[in-house]
Amino acid sequence: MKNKQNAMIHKVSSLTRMLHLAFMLAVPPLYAQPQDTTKTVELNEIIISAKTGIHRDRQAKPNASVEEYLQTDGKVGMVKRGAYAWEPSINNMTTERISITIDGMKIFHACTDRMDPVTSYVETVNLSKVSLGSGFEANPNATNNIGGSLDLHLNRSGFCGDGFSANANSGYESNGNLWIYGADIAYANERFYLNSGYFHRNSGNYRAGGGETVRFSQFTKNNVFTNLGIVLKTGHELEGSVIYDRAADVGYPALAMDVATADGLITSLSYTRLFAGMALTKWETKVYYNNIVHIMDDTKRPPEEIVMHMDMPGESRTAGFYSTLSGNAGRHRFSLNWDGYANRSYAEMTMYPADPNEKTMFMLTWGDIRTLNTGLFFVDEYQFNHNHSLRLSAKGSFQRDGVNDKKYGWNTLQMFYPEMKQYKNRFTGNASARYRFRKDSWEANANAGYGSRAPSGSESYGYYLYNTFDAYYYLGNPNLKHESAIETGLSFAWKPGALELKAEASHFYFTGYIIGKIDPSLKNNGLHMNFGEEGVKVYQNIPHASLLNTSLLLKYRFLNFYTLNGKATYARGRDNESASLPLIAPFGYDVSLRFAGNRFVAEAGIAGAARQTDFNPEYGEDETKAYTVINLSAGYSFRVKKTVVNLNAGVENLFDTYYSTYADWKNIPRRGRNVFVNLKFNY
Amino acid sequence: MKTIQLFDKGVYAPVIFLLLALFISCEKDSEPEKQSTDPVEGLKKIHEFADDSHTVAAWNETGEFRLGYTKVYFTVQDKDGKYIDSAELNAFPEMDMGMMKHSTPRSEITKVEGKPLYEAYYNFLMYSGQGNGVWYYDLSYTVGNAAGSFDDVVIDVKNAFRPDGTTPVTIIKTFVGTDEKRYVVTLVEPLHPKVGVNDITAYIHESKSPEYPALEGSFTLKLDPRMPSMENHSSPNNVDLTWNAAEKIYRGKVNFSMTGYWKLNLILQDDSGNIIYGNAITDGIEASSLFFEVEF
Repeated sequence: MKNKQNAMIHKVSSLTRMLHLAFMLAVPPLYAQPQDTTKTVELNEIIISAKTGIHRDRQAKPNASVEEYLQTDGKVGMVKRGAYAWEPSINNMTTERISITIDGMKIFHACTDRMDPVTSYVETVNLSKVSLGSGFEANPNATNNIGGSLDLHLNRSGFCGDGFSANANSGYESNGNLWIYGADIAYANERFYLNSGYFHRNSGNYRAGGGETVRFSQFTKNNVFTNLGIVLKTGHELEGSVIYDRAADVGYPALAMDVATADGLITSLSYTRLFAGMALTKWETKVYYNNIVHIMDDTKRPPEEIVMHMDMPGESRTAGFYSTLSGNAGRHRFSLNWDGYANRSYAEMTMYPADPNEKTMFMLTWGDIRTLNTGLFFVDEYQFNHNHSLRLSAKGSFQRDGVNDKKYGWNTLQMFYPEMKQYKNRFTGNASARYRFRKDSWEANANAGYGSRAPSGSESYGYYLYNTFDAYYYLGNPNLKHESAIETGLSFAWKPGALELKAEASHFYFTGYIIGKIDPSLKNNGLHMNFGEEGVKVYQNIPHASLLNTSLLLKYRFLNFYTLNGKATYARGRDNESASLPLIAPFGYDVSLRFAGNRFVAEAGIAGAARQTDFNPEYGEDETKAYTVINLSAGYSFRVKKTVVNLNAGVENLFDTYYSTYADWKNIPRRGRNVFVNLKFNY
Repeated sequence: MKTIQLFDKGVYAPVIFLLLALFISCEKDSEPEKQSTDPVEGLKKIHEFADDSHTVAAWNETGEFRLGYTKVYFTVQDKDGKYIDSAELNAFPEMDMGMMKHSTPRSEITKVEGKPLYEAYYNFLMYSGQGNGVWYYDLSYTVGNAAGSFDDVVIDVKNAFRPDGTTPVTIIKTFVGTDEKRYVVTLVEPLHPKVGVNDITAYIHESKSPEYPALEGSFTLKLDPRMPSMENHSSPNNVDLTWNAAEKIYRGKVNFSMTGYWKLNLILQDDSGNIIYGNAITDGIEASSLFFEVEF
């Protein structure tokens, strides 16, 4: 449950282990590289491993959702609209400002109201780890990122001599009556692997602290996946993967609508060339395709709460490729990446008037938005000597985007923007540098970067996108300019023996920050749809904005088996008028004490946040109260013949505190006391 | 190994194909219009009358007269079926309501440039059977020295409905203005609205029965389209209707942000800005007394 800058102890994935081994043999590293050498980019990693054997560092709650794993990292936050499909933020920036990829694949959500962040289309069992890039120091395939990037690594068996293995796991959580079942099997040898699995989650409505049931917070999720790899010839690997994920009957208590189904089909085929004894170590090329279909549903709500019945389906399709060349030459570790993708995002809204004889009201909220993007990325890490290293990276991208549907897309936007062209060409890019100094138990990092992002599809071409948070309809603006930012960061770490202390600060100064603002010329024109909401906001570039993220980490190992972890974070975001930016975390803390033996682990934690004083009513925010919750968990592992059994149990929110955080949409309360049990068999 | 070679080189081909397939739109330009020799191509016949020398027929796109603005084309053929392009035509529609008779705003019948075709519009104030009234007209023609007339021809003016087929739709409005004059305002376009920007055109006539002189210029129809079912949602950048001297019609722009039922609220103003009829929409007032309806 921590980011693993230097984690080599983890059983990450067999593939990377094997590659690691290959490189150790092929290219003796200049200096001991403590982590996965297949990656040039030294990004933070969040280990997501359902494959926990008997191990000191295994997860306390192995069946946690992907989002629960992600938010254990200090830089990652989660915006919640219910119990399902939380929206990740990095450095207090959400979807438009971060890049999320799955094994380097671009994938975009299909819901105009952000009910389906792409992380909701995978399951813990699909993944082995997540690479977290902060700011412009991102994954090679990241595009249009300012806040950072997440690359979710698929859980492949890898080419190793494990033979046949199988896992079965199940879990129960008392709050919401959540059931989890999963099973996966794998066969692997040095030239072939196949792993496949199924995962299921089903939850009823959860209860907030104090016992109040949060209506429409239920969900059901099914996920199947298959990964396949063949070594065509030594050094030539062919790998494919398919994930099909289907969520159904998902409630969103913070929103006016729920979701009938959200389907994701994610496919890829890659070819990897591994070189031995050369400067180039790896050349990976992948083609991929994914399709997401998201169907909203308001029919489960009580009729008296439905102002007007609506159908709101959305679809997002992405096809793309990338080709990455990595290598080591002298003291350089470098990587060169070319990527490209094409996305189409289409969303309808059909509104049914009270009079059944009247024609339905139809519009495209995403008028078949097309995005074609291709970019070149380069990163080099140069190790001057034991003490100094410098990392340089840059990416330049070309993007063509526009509204392909003339009848309902372009035509309607032209009412607002008569001069609007159907397509636009843009160039964006970023460059960043990081200097690292290490000596004895000290480490210091200084980084700086500059880059820009193209406006998202919704920001450019969205059409009457309703935001329940501030109760405004949002209108895209095809005349938006790029948002750009200067990022600067500093961190200091001190690791004398068993103690680790780290202080980190990053600052973003934006120009042309994109945010929805009330357009006074539209306000008095009856433009809003008037369902108790305020009016229309239009995405605009405000002159400047700034965002500061700070964190303090502490880790102390003592008495052999104990670890004390502490984390405190604070962030501040301001717009050009010094008003707060929305969804910025107030001061937060997380302290845990962990006992880890080989068979028995236990953890007690306290987490909370201070009162949110820097909020902005303009964006629908109000003050969020301070809270503290206490969590306890324990796990025990044992072996029955060849089978490893993991049993984990815990209590979250021990004192059943009623609370909500700054990132809870419309202040919906978090889960009250929750008792969980996980049981896992590993053969 | 050959397979591997194939992958080394050919790996981008499927990618490029995929990208192209996804991105390139399949829309094709419409075929070039064929030059037609048939003057009534695409039109439906409403009715025709023949005497010893000529056949006169009335046509339009729907094949029927309808409440409100109705465009009508006429053809005159000789006994050999040849279309005559030098005829003069007259038609004066009247509604007989028993106690009284009245006509309706209309244009003269004029020649269509370049075709043996004649055109006129009739803005029918009432449909056949309304108030037990019966519409008819006397249709007369002159071709050179020949002339003829078809008298008391009953014409069937259909009522106009919303798409449900039963609810009458408001597309023509008669009222007495603040200046005590009687006006008729008729919606011409959009008959087939689309989402986005639409042309809107209308006629304004004064009602001095039996004459309905067209009021050309010096008026403005202020426009405020609304969706009553969407709690009076409106649309941006609409353009009020003003006189277009070239086309001899009041013309503006109306924007529809979505499909559905729209009320086109209007205020008739004279050239000094005095309100002759209609009212603005405010918090308590959801519609103007002068409005048209469109639904699509």
